[in-house]
Formats: sequence, C-alpha cells, structure tokens
Amino acid sequence: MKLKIVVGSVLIAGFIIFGAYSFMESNVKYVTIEEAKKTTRKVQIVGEWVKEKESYYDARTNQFIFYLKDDNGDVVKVVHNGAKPNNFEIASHVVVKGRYVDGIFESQEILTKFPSKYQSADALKQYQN
Amino acid sequence: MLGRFLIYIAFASSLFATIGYYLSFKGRKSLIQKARLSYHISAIFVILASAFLLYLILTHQFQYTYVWSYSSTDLSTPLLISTFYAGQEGSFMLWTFYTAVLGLFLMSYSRRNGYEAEVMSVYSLVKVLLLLILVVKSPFEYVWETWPNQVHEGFVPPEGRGLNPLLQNFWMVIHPPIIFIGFAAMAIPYSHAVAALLRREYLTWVKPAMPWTIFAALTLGAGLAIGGFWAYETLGWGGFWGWDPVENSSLVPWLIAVGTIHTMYVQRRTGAFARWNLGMSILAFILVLYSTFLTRSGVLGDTSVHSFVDPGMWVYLLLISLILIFSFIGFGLLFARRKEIPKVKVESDLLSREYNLFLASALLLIVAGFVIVGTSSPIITKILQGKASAVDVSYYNKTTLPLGIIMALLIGLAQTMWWRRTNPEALMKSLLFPTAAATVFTSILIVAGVREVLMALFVLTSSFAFFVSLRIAYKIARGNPKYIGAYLTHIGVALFFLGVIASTKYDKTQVVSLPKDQAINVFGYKLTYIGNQKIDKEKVAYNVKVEKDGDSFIAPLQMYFSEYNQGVMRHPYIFSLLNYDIFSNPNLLAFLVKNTLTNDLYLSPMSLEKSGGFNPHTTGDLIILDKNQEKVVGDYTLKFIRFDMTSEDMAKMMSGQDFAIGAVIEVTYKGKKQQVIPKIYYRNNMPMPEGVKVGDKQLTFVNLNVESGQIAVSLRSNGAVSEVQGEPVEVLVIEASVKPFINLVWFGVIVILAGFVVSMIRRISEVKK
Repeated sequence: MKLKIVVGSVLIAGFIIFGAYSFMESNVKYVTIEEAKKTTRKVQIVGEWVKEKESYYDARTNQFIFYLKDDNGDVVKVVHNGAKPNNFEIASHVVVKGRYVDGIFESQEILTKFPSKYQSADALKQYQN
Repeated sequence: MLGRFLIYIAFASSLFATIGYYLSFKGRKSLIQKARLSYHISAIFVILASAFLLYLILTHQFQYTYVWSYSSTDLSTPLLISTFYAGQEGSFMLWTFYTAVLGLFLMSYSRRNGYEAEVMSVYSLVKVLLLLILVVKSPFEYVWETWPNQVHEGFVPPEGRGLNPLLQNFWMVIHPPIIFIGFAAMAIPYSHAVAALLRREYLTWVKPAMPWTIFAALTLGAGLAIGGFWAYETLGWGGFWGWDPVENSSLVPWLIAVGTIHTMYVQRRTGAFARWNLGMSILAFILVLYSTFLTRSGVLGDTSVHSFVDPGMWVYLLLISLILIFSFIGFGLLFARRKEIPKVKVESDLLSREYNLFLASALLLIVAGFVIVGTSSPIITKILQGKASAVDVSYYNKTTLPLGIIMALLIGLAQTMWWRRTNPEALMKSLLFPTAAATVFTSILIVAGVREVLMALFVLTSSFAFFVSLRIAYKIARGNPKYIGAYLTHIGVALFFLGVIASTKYDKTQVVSLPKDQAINVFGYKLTYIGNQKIDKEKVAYNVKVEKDGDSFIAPLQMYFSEYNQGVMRHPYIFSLLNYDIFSNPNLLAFLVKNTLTNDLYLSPMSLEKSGGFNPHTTGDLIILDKNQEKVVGDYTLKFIRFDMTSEDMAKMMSGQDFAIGAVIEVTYKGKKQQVIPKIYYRNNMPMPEGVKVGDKQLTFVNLNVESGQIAVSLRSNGAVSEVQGEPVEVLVIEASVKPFINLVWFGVIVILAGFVVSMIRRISEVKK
C-alpha cells in the first residue's frame, strides 16, 4: 500500500514537472522588435502594418512579405510562410509569431485584430437620415 | 417587450421551483406539487421565449439588435434558423432551452427512482442562473436600447447585418444544437452527485446517474466531432483539430465525463471510488462553466484566432459567480461529508480490472488537466508575467502524445483484466494474439516509412488496443451484442488514433501555380485551372479541373472579398466524404469512392496572379509620391498629378464589380517631359497592376491612399520584363495537400459514438430493473 502511494506521487510529480516544462517551453512571449532581435527563441510581436512600404505575396516561395511597426516605432521586415491572411487590410493590429533571423522576422503565424466595430451602430446609420 | 416578459416569468417560476423543491426535501413534503408546477411553468415559458426568438428571426424583425446583428433577408431557411445561436445571447437561450426540456425528463425519471426533490432543487438552480444571464443579456433588446443616443426609438432597419460566411455551412447549422445538449446534460450528473451528498446516499446513486453521464458524453462528443468536421471542411485550418480555446473548452468536460464513466462502472459493481466519482461528476460540470467563462467573458481577449467579444461587466461577473456558486455547493458538500462517505476497499492488485479502470479515469483527468492549463495560459501568464500570452499549439501535441501512447496501451491491457485479480498465465495467453498482430502491423509501417520512435510506439499501442478490442467484441457479438458498447467504443478510439497519426503526421503539402488552361501534375492528380465565375453577389469560384485515371471533376475553389468580415476569404475545396456537395452532386461521390478513399485531396486557393504582368518580387523598394510634389529617382523625376478614373469605373467600383484606377504621373527623363497613366486593375477585389514604359524603365502603380493623396509606385529596369509580351496569363496559386487515411478519423469517431449509444441503452435498461 505504501509503495503504491510512493509510486503514485512520483508519477504525479513527474507529470507536473513535464507539464510545467512544456508550458514554459511553448509559451510564446510578447516582445518588442528590439527584444526580438536579441533572442533566438520563438516570440510574438504586436504591431501595425506599414502600408507605405512594400508588401506582396510571392507565389513561388509561398511567402507573404510586409513591414511591421511596433509600439516603440521600430520597423522590421516580416517574411511570413503562407498566404496573406484574411482580413489583413482592415486589421488594426497584427500579431506575428516566429523568430528574428538575419535582419528579417520569419513568421509562422499571423493573427489579425480588428477595431471592435462589430455590432456598432455605424452600420445602422446608412438607413437613417 | 413580450420576449423579456417571457424570460422574467420563466426566471421567477424557476426560482420558485428551486426553493419549493429544496423546502420539500427539507421536510415540507406538500410543497413538491407546487415546485413541480413551477418547474413546468418555467419550462413552458423558456420554450415560448425560444419560439418567439425564432419567430422574430424568421420574420426579419430587425428592430431587435440580436436579429439585426446576425441575420438578413437573403439567407435560406436552415441558415436563418442557425442565426438563432450565432451570437452569445442566442447560444445562452439555446442552452437554457435544452436545460428546461431535459429537466422535464429528469423530473419523471427521478420521481420514479425516488429522489426528485433533491436532484431537481439542484438542477433547477442551474436553470435559474442561466435565465439570469438572459435577463442581463437579453436577445430581445431593441436597437434603440442598445444604442440609445444614436438610434431613435421605433426605428426598424430594413436589412440585417447578415451571417458570417464562415458560419454559413451545413455542419455549423447542426453543431451548436448538438453541443449544447451536451452542455445542458452535464448538469445532470452534477445534480445527481450533489443529491447523493444531500441524501447521504453515497453508494447507490451511480446506477441512475450512469445513463445520464453516458448521454452527456455522447452528445458533447458528437458536438465535438461535428465541430471537427466543420473546421476541416470550412475553416481551411488544414486539419480537424486546432487546439483552439473554443474546441478545448468542450473537450475538457468531455474527457472528465468519460473518465467518470470508467470509475462509475467500478462503483456499480464493487462500491469503490465513491468519493472519486462524486468529485469527478461535480468537476465535469464546473469545467463546463469554467470553459464558458473562458470563451464568453472576453478574458482570452487577444490571444486567439477567434475574436472573443467582450460581453460586458455584468455577464463577466455572472459567469464567475456561476462557477463559484456551483463549486461551493458541490465541492463544499463533498468536503463537509468526506468523513462519512464509506470507503470500500479497492482491490490493489495491479492486475485487477478495478485498478486499471481507475488508472484510465486518472489518465483522462491528467489529459484534461494539461489541456485546461494550456487553454488558461493567457490568464496564468497574465498573473505570473503581467502580460497575457497563449501557449503554442506544440504544447498540446507535446503533452498529449505520450499520454496518448499510454492510453492506447492501457485500453488494450485493461480490457483483458478480470475483476479482483487476473491470472497472469491466462493474461499472457489472451494477450498473445493482439501483441503479435500489433507487432507485425507496426513492423510493416516502420518498413513503409514510420521512422520516429514516438510515432512507432503510438502505432504499436494503438494497433494493440485495436486487436484486443476487436477480439473481445467479436466474442461478445456472437454471444450477447447488448454488452458490446464499451468494446465498440475502444475499437473506435484505436482507429481514431491510427487515423490521427496517419493524417496529421504523414500528410504532404505543396504550393503550386496553375497558369490558366495548363495541366500541372501534383501528387498523381492532373490539375488545370480553367477560369472563374461569380456564384453569388460576392463569392467567386475559381474552377480547377482535377483528373485522375480518366476520371475528372471540376472543383470550385472559393476566394472572395467578404463584406461582413471586411477581408478576403478563402474556402478550400476538399475531396472528402465529409464534403456535403455529395448530396447535390452524384459525380463527386463516384469520384471520391474511386480515387480518394485512402487519401483526401485538399485544395486551398492562395491568390490569383498574372504572369508577364506585375511581379512585385523584382521591384525592390517602393517609391511613395505625394500629390504635386516632385521626387527624383536616379535619372528620373516623378510627379504625381491626380488619380484617373472614368465615371464608368467609379460606378463599377461602387457596385463591387471589377474596375480600374489609374494615376497620372509626370515623368521627366533626360530633359524630356511626358505624362503617363499606369493603372491598377481590380479583378475580384485583387489588385493587378500593369506597368507602362518610361525611358528604359517600367513604371508600375502599386498602391494608393486616396485620403492623403499618396500613391506608391515602382520603377524597375525594363530588361527584366521585356521578353514577356502579349496577353498576360492568369495564374491561380493554390496549396494542394493529401491527407492519408483521414477517413479513419471520421470512421473511428462514428464507431466511438455508436458504442456510447449501445452502452447507454444497456445502462438505461439496468436502471429500470
């Protein structure tokens, strides 16, 4: 009976450590562009799309390229593996997940955030005079 | 006004019912009649309120904010019905509706089994609080109540905002109605556990609670499966599961409920694990509430692909208090009564069925724990680091893979165990065939290309589980098929695991450019882009002809600008048995059966390009020109004069058709001044710039900002494009992938659910005895 409790607690402790380790490992921190440049870890950056600079989708490599400006005003060139995300044009904020390598940010995932105009009365106004 | 009135009456009468039931349990037996009546009244009013909401939607009463927000007059009737639960208020309404209706069944069921007052007082309280949410966040709010200063009273918008195109899908029509049965049903095992604690009846309660727990797991499981179909079919995630908070939040209570079924089975037989079962039954429902909180309160905010609408302070607080109230009642009572719950000695032999079933239950709890911690990561990191961030999807894959391997092994072992103690020799004998078969199967796959150690292990244990379950199921099917439920479910789990390994680990993906009318070979299929056409007022289909072994099928890949989402939407076309086009197009089914039974083909549109036209890759940096300001670039001086757009193009732009816009630019080169007008053509809302020649370079108008009077152009040397002349060709860029044996996933899921149905019928018949 005692042995079972010992084995049980060792197993549970093992699972907790394993879980906590995976959690820390997979937790992708929000950083600024400046911080992203200093680390080789996978990070995420929130920013705005710099519309004045070039942005295009390259079909041959299946990459979408654009420039991102963070809250500090730093700008980085982003190479995203994949198509231009849906709703990219009207996103108020863009979140990119990936790594900074040799002057560019290699993004694996883009999330787009919208101004909360859903359910707003603006859409109703077109009917009112 | 009527809608709100119905909700208020339902709320008040369910409150009476709860109090009446509780007092009757406390000894005032005469009150039970009144409580019953009150419950019936409240159920009737919930049904009326739901019917009223449905009526408002079907008759397009856009003066109601909810109706206006999610529907429009151009939706088909099934889609119109689905707008009932497209938003938060409506989903709470649906949840309440099911809770009310299931309560009617629970009432007569518990009356027959002699614990009506206790169980109904708890269950009815769930309904009270759900109705309170509907009081605070009513689906019956008028637009002028929602925006008091912006919309005048009595205003009826002529048209609604419409339904998100992502939700306009067959699977999405049936997904919420099923998953919310599961949410509502999860309150029943909870009520049974609390009733057992109230009655101090700790041993016998599992017998009547078991069919309900299986029912909850069945409906929630079916809802999860359909959600997976939807994600695969419509969302274009490329898979059926994305570890998204919304998915996880239904998965976690399901895992707990399934774990509970395992130990309830032991308790029914030996009386052991009474506390564990009470705790797990309570936990399953608390997790339903916690998940609702995570996905409905806006607390996950910015960390997921789903955008979570903030429902406001009151709903946030209500959801938190719901969790606290039901945790306090459930776990509080369990804690208070912990000493008096009889402890039946558990068979501690490692080779006993009891012990292994407990391990299964604990393992499912651990999996649920990992998933819920990951899903809560924005909250955890917010507390620990001050800034919310979500864990990567890799977290879930990493943590669940080893647990999956153990789970498959345990499924195989536990089913061969006897009650109390298994004779090791007999065990060896019965494991001989499955072990041998699994080893052979895995060796074949290793030779075929499974190289990773963990994957090979997972294949080994999954196939072991499959052969064990299959052998037992075969024996039972020849004897008494009534008892086949559990074995059927485990066959399904094993097949599901194998399907998951094959389709997610060994899928192949390739990005291909398809120039118009030119066949390209991909993964053994011949693909030809043959042109596009509009299919409704905004959707555009890009037709790709798929040929294989003499068969051909034209797949309409959709890519269009959605007014609702304000962005480009891409719908993949999937050659899959789940594609509901098979109902309308018999050719598809024939094509599928012949060519894609073992491999789904998945085609996602990426973009429409033009060869010979604009290739931004070679442009280098863009030049920004402000109106009427000269800019010197090398030998060239550029000056943007004005935009050039015909009134015809203007009209086309306004009506959403293809149009062109030009920029008049004054170019000075080697002392010579000239005006050129490069244009951008918008085809299906995709900009396609065409350059003009100036001097020895190509000037291309790339982007514009009308308000600030700015344009972006590129100037590149002419040599790069000079060889491409004549009519530019449209090129459709797609991502093609093949998913091996994904049909095993769907088939496994169906077998799992079929097993649940058989088990449920068996347990119901046992209660009646």
